[in-house]
Amino acid sequence: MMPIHRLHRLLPLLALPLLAGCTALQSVSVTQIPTDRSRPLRAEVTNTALLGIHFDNDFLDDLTPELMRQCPHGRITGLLTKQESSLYVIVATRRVIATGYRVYDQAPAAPAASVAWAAPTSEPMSAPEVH
Amino acid sequence: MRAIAFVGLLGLLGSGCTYSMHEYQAAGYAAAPVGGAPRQAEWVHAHGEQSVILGVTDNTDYVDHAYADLLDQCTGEVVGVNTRFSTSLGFLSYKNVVEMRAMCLRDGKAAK
Repeated sequence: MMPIHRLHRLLPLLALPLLAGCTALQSVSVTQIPTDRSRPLRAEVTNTALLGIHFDNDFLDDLTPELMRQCPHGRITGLLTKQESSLYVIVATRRVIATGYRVYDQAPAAPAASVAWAAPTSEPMSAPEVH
Repeated sequence: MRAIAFVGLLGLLGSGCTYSMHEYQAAGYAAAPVGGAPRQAEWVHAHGEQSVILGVTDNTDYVDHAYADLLDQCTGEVVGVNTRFSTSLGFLSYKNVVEMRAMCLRDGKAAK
């Protein structure tokens, strides 16, 4: 067996993983994926802290507005969301990456009655009569 | 004798006998309504893994590869996506695994 006083020669080897960057997946989720994949989108938020001491989780609040900014009128689906963490010696970074697709559904044809009721008029609009 | 016992203990502790399930998610079972003939559902399966030695790795690209693999297998709508994230431990190493099982909705004519 190797004497204890020689074990210190192995310490640099054992410390090697600490010096390298270590990234770990924390969470993953996927929503249903559309047929039309011609309009991809991507959003990412990160939060870096020394010694892994984070003071809040507010960085996540920027993710949804960023996704909505890229798709103000359509529907977001096929969303792959990854939460990962990276550790570089004493710096820890949390990262959430969302990739998906914008889908614009065709507006359903409005019923004739509602179209007639929504027609512009100069007179004050009154509720339709129901018999 | 001590050395043999030490190596044996180390091997026992470090061998691949531990599996951990981190997350399982089932989502997206509401298919988008479309007109025309009924669509055929078919299971598709994508798998991504990453071997990590001594905990050193710098990415989670295996998840993206699994997702891309799922997309490649189905040109239609993909619903009912079941995502599993797990880890199996080995000797001084571990393996991260992501599996995605979903239903691919193909047009009725194309499926035949």
